[in-house]
Amino acid sequence: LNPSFFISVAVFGENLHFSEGISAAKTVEVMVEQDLIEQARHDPEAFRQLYRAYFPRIYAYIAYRVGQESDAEDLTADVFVKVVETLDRFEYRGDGAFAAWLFKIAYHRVAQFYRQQTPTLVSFDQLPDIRSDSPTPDSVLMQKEQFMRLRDRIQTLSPRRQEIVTLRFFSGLRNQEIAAVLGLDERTIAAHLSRAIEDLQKRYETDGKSP
Amino acid sequence: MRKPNHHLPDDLPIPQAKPAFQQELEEALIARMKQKETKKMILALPVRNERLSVTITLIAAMLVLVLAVTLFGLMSRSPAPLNTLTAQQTTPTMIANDEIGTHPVVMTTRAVNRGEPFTADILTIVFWTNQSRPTHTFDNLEAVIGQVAIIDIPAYSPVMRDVVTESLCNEDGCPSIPIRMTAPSVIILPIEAPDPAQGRSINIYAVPSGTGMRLSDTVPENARLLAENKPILFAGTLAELEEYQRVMGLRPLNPPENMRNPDQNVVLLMASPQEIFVLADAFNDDTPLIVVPIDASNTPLIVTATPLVVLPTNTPNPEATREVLIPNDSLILNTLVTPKVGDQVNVIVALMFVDVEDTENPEVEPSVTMGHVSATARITAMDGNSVTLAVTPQEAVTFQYYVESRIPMMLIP
Repeated sequence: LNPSFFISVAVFGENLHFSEGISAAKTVEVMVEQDLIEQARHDPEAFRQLYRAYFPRIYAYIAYRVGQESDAEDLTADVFVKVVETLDRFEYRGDGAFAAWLFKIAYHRVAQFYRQQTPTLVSFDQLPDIRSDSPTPDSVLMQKEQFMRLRDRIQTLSPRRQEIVTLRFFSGLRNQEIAAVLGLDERTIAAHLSRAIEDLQKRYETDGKSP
Repeated sequence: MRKPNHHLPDDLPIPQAKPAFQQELEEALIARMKQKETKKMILALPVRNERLSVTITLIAAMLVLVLAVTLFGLMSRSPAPLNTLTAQQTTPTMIANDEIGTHPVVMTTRAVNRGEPFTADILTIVFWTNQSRPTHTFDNLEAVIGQVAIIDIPAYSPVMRDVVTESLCNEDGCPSIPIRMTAPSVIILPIEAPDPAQGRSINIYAVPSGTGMRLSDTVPENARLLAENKPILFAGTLAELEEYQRVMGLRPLNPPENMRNPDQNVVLLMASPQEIFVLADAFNDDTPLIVVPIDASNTPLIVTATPLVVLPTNTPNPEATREVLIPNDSLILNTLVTPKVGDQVNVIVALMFVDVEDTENPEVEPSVTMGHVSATARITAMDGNSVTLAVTPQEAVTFQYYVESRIPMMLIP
C-alpha cells in the first residue's frame, strides 16, 4: 500500500477507481435501492439481496474496528438481526440514507461492544481473513500482516478519526453518509479525513516501511 | 441508485468473512424474516364474522383498559409503609397475559409425503395464539428436521409429534401406513348414547384422555359415525387408525391429554360421504351433526348448529384455524381442498345431508357475505338434493342459505 494513496483519496475523492469486489452489489445496482428496501420489508428474497450487497462492507467495517474474527462475526450478526427487526421503521430519505442507517446500527453496536469490554491485543491467528483474488499461503499471511499494521496505525488516531477512516476506506461510505452516521457536518468529516490521512502518512514515514 | 464509486479499493487489506458464516447468517436472517412475516400475516388476518370481530375488538379494548388502570394505579400509589412493603412486592401487579400470548408451532410449507424426511425448507414456524394453538406439536425446527413423516401431511399443517419418526422401518420391516390420515394419535372408543329424537341408541366415538385401546374388537365394522355438537379434532378412517395403532405398537401411544378440548365426549367423526348420507338419515332435522368425510385431511364437511372450531387441515390460509360461528341450520359443503384465491376448481361434489326447513325466514342469517367467494363455483342439479360447489366452508353457508331461500344467484369467479 502506497502512502500516496491516502493523499490521492483526499485530493480526488470520489474519482478514485474502486473495485466493486462484491458481486451482489451489482444486483442491487440494477434495482433502485429504494424499491429494493421497500420490497425487503416483507419479501425475504429482496432482503437477501440487500444483505448480500451490504454484508461485506459491514463486516469489513466491524472487523477493522474490533480486530478479532469471532467478535466481528458476532457483531455483524447482531447488526443484521437488528436490521431485520427494525427495517419496518426505516424511512428512506434519499440516496445513501440506507447505508447511513445501516452503518449507524453497526457504529452503535461497536460502541456498545467497547463499552462492555476494553480493547485487547489481537493475536495473529485471531485475525479475520483478507479478501484476495488469488490467495496463496504466503499472500494470506502477508495480507493479514498488512491488515494488522494498518489497523495498528489507524488506532493511533483519535477515536473519531478512526471511525471516519474506517467508514471511508473500509466500508466505502461517502463523506455525506459518514456525516449521517456520526451526526456531524459533511465539511467536518472532510477536515477530519484530511487530517487523518496526513497523520497516517506521517506515521508511515516515521515507521519507514510499508504497512 | 448511484454508481458504486464508494466501494472498497483494491489494494487495501479488506477483511472478508468466511463464506460459511455469511451463508449461515443469511439463512438465519431469512428464516427470522419469514417467521416475522408469518406472524404479521396471522395478526393481519381478516375477521369475516362480524360478531367475532366485535368480540375481539371488545376484548382488546378491555385489556388495554385494564392495563391502563393497573399502570395508573401503580404510578399514583403513595409510598408504602415499611411493614407492608414485602407483602406488596410479592403481590402480582400486572395482569397475566397468557391468554393473549402466542406459541410457536412448526408447520409444513408444502405437502410432505409419507417417508419423506423433513428439511428446513419445507418447515416454518407459525405463532399461534395460546388459545387456539394445537397441542402435541413441535415448537422448534431442530426437533423436526431430519425426522421422517409417518403419513402424508398436507401443506400448511402443524407437524404433530405422532406423525414423525426417525425411520419408518423397524426390525419387523417397513409398515404400510395408509395415507391421508391426520393427527392419528388420538384414540377413540365407542360409547352408547341415546338418540334424543328416536329414543334409540347410536354409536358415538369419543376420545378418552390418557388411555388407549384397540378398536377392532369393539367397533362394528360398518360403524363410522359420530355426532353431536362437538368440536372436530381430526378425522381419519377406523381402518387407518387401527393400522396406525397396530404398526405403532412398539411405540407407546401418547394420547393428547391436553388437546384443544380434553372433554372425553369430544367426538371423532369418520365416514365416507356415502356413509354419511346413509347415517344422516337416522337423524331428524333437529339433530345437529358434525360430519367429517374420509378425505377430511382436506376441508371437513360439516353440518352443525353450534359454534365449532375448524382445524387447519389442508387449508393454505391460517384463517381456517380460527373459531367460526356457524349460523343455525346452516350447511357447509366442501369435500376437497379449500381453493386458494384465484384457483380454478372443476368439480367438488357436496352432498345434502339434512333437509333444512323454514329457510325462507331463517332465525339466524349467515354472516358471511358473497363478496368473499374465492373460487370458481357452479351449481349442477344432481339427484334432487345434490349440488356441485367449489367454495370455502364459510362461503358455503351463504350459498346454502341462498339455495334454500330460492334467491337468484349469479356466481362470479
